[in-house]
Amino acid sequence: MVRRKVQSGEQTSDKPRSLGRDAMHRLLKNRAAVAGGAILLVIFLAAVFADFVAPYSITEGDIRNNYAGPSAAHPFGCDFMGRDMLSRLIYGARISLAAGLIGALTAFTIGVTFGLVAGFFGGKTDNVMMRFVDIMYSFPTLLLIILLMVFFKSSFSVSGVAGGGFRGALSDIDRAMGGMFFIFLGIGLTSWLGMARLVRGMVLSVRGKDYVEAARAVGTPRSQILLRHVLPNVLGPAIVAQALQIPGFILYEAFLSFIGLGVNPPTPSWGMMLSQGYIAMRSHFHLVLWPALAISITLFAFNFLGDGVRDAFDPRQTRR
Amino acid sequence: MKKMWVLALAVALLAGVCATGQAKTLYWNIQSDPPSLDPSMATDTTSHQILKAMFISLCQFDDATMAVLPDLATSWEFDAATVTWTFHLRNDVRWTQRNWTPSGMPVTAGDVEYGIKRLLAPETASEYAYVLYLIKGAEAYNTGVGSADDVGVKALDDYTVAITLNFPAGYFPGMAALWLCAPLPRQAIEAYGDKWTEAENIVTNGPYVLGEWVHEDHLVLVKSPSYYDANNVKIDEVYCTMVNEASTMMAMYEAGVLDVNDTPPLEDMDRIKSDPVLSLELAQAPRLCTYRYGLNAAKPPLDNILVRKALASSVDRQSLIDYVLKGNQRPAQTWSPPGIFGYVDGVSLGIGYPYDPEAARQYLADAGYPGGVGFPEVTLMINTSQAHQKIAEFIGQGWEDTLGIQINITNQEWGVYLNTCATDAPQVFRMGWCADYPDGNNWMNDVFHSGSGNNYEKYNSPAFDALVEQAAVELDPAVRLDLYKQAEILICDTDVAFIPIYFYTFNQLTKPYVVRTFSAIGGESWKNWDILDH
Amino acid sequence: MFQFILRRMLWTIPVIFVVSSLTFILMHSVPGSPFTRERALPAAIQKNLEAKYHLDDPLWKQYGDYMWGFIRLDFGPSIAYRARTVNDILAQQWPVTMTLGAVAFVFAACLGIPLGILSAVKQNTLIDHSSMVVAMLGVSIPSIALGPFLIWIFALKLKWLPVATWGTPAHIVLPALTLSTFYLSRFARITRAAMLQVTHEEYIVTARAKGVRESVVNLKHAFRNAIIPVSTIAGPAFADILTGSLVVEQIFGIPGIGKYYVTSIGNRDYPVIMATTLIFALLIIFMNLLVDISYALLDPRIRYT
Repeated sequence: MVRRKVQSGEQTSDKPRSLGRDAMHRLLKNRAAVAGGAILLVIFLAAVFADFVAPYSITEGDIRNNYAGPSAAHPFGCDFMGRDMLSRLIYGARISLAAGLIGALTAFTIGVTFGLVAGFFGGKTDNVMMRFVDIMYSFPTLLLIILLMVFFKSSFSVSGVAGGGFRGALSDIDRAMGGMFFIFLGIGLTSWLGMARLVRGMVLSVRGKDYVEAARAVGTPRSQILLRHVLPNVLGPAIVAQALQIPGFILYEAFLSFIGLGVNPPTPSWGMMLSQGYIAMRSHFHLVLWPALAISITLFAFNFLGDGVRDAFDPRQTRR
Repeated sequence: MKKMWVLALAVALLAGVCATGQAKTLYWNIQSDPPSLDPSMATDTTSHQILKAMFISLCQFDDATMAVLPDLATSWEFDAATVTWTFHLRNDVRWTQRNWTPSGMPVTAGDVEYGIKRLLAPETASEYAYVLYLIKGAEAYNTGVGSADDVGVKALDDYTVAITLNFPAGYFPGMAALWLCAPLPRQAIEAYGDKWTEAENIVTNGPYVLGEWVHEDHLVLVKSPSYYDANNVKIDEVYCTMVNEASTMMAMYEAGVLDVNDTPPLEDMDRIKSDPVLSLELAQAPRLCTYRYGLNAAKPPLDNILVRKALASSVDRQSLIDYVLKGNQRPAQTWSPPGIFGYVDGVSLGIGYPYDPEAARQYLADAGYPGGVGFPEVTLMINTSQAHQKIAEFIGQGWEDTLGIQINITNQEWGVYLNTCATDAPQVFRMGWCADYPDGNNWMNDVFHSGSGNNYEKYNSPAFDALVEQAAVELDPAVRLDLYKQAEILICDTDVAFIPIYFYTFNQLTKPYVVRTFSAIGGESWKNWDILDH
Repeated sequence: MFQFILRRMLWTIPVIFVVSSLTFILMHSVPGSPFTRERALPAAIQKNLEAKYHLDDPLWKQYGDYMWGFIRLDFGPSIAYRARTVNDILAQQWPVTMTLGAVAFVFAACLGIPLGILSAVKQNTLIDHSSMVVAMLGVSIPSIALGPFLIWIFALKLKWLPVATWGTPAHIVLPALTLSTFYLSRFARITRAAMLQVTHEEYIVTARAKGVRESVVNLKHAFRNAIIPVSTIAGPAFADILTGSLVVEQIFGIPGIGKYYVTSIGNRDYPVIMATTLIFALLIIFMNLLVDISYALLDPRIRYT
């Protein structure tokens, strides 16, 4: 590496910039992405600290205030039970973000594992596994998730399930989470295909690389190769790719709650608030307006940030 | 072919109408495609509404008083010795075939016999057959152990039919007013099988014929020229759209596309009541349905009657009606609604448990859970629906606030829900019941008898069973009333088998140019309506 | 090429098998039979009904019977709607959904792609930025929010369009618009990105150097190459629009197969559910095949073996 002569007054940095650093730098220059990130951060913090930020709890309400419009005490009005819309929106952020993040985590875990195994072991295993993925790709996702949710909700949501055990345990977990557990599971089980394909492709290309060949030649056990060479190179882009899917998961949850296959009341999901508001839309528009805005702004911010991240990591990106 | 006949009839109507005035079309909305227009098979309110316009039965109900009036049958009498009701039929009722020729085949007693036996036939697998089990031999035939010939329905001649029962049932003429005892067109059914109800095949005898049926889209009923009372039928055509969304239906009504909205969304009720135009178009009428929260007394802690009393006493029905339902419903402390023979006014007589938070807390304390401490979580289950959810959240919240206990509200989709309630009912579950016929037998016996499949609470009281069984065979109305009153006290007050919540009302919006009646039992009588010039 | 198509079509067989068995298993695992009613049926009647629809046969037999009928295009009777067979229902409902989907797709493509081209050509101007913001909105606002909103503005307040249901071309506008926004925006964004990518290629520079008019450069040279990445999402676009119609049909009360699907699950109308899912799956495969073929036609560098 040749060093240029440093002119006086010129700033240089000695450290070589890794892909991550480079990407971060590019990302920060993208004002839209930064704005999106900032909005998301606000929403995220509001969700995490909802107990402190929200003026009321999600169940606190005076039925005599039902459908009330915006007022000093309730800046966003009240819902059909007289509960504060603003507070429910803030707690609703938890549901949407959780659906997005944990759903993504579930899909990620399943997809990455699948892709790793298929790509790494290759041959027949790979063939069979990828055929399976191809077949499942043809199953319309929304239909599958509806079927799954009907199945879950009917088999697992009864409390005091006779003969406890596994079913009882799952039901209890689900109830403790306000009905979210099966949504995560449903989203995860239907959305891992793309990730599996991606990871498998990456694993295949990494496998062919020289340093992997070298490691094998030296006799490194397979597990080590997997963990120390393959995985680190695969994880980065995989995480980015998965993150770009989060808005889609938030949408799924909203859809499911809209048609009644989502969370259980009184958990305030934005999708459920939309379906409750839609019926009253003509008389009380604010019941639709706030959840619609909430979802739209969140997805908007996610999309800008996602775009920025994708552009930042794209080495071929050229912008005038 | 079908389209030609629609056209022909439309032209005929138009011609007739040009002579007399404008064609009167009622624009109505049914919220789904009728699953079945076969009187033996139909189970839902949408199908019943259409059936009521197309088929007549032995008797009919007066919309206002629920009195039993003649329809196909002009008179009837009961013979105590043979336990037989004999109906004398009109001789001027004709079947209207698909090409609407006025001189169709006459409707005879044989058709009545055929209709009832077909309903009871095991192959038909009708879901309402059990209602007619009081006819001799009916249950045996329906469950496959008896034969059709042993069923106690006989056409004595073309215009007389004799129905033999297992026990004298004073309320039987009311049942004869149901679609269950309607005559059916044997030729059409045997010719077309399951498809006999399609517009091109169907044969009817009522005030309207099925003009056109485009599935999932719309349905048109056209006035039947050969109906026996056609001169008094004023509305020429009923055009039924099939929009499911209640809010869309409301928009259609406000835009003038619909003449009547029979299910205005309760979210719009405030706006409707304060709107100068809409508030005048809103009318409320009683409806023969009751909403209840069933209690599974086999599951702790509800096995303790004090706990059930506590729950029953902490439901603020009036606030529920005022703030959540907004439809001027009536709070219910007993089971049968007003209009049903056997109704008792629980609220003014002090039967059942009114809203009394202090008493509720006391009951709970007496049960061993003062202030709700130590009380296990109770599950309240409903079937997936916005409306039920609101009610559940309100009542559940009320329980939590008043009693200091924890309620878990879950929902299940309808089919699963019914299954769950039948096999392993949760502690609290929501159920409703609407009258099949306006008699206490349908409410007390058919629902809560220990052997009834509708008894989701699995209420088992020999005393109760004895009361309702006796009332079923009793002929003296005064004695029957007293028996039903005792039954109400037993089930609602003494045993607290369930918590009655409210009696339904019909809230309907009707355009001012529609002259109409209200039917409490469900299914409007369009033949009695009129449309003014507008 | 022919071999490629043949192989793809053979591929549909295992897909049908997996999709149908998964649907079958899931549906039959859900408790509740089609005959569970609020007014409980006497046991004997329930047995009769189940026998009539062969629901008392062992599961593998039911499955086998169903698939045998499916191959012969006989989709069985509808359990919920006694007078109609599934074929009747499909024949009535599918054209509605297909129309809605097709119109939505046309909106998405015919509005989205030109928007993308325009943005690319006028890169970094106000037009570009505002188009991209609009596109971003389109991707972010879900149909469950957009649909009611459009109804509120165009049908209720302005009264330009009908509120709901189906029948005239005017009825198609709002639902198709709601359904199309997501892919309209994606088409716009991808077209823009692809066009920008392509404008840096050497052949474009050459064309400009030759003095070819700018519009010809854009449309003839740039676009024809940009269309390739765009067409990769055409397949998923169609698939998603079709499944997305489920929700839109609900909101607008449209008598299509999507609205039917949800109610059929509730009714446990097994034949309808199976037929619908399988047809959806087949359609998606078919569309993907079409897309791949068009891919090969558009890009002479691609050869399928």
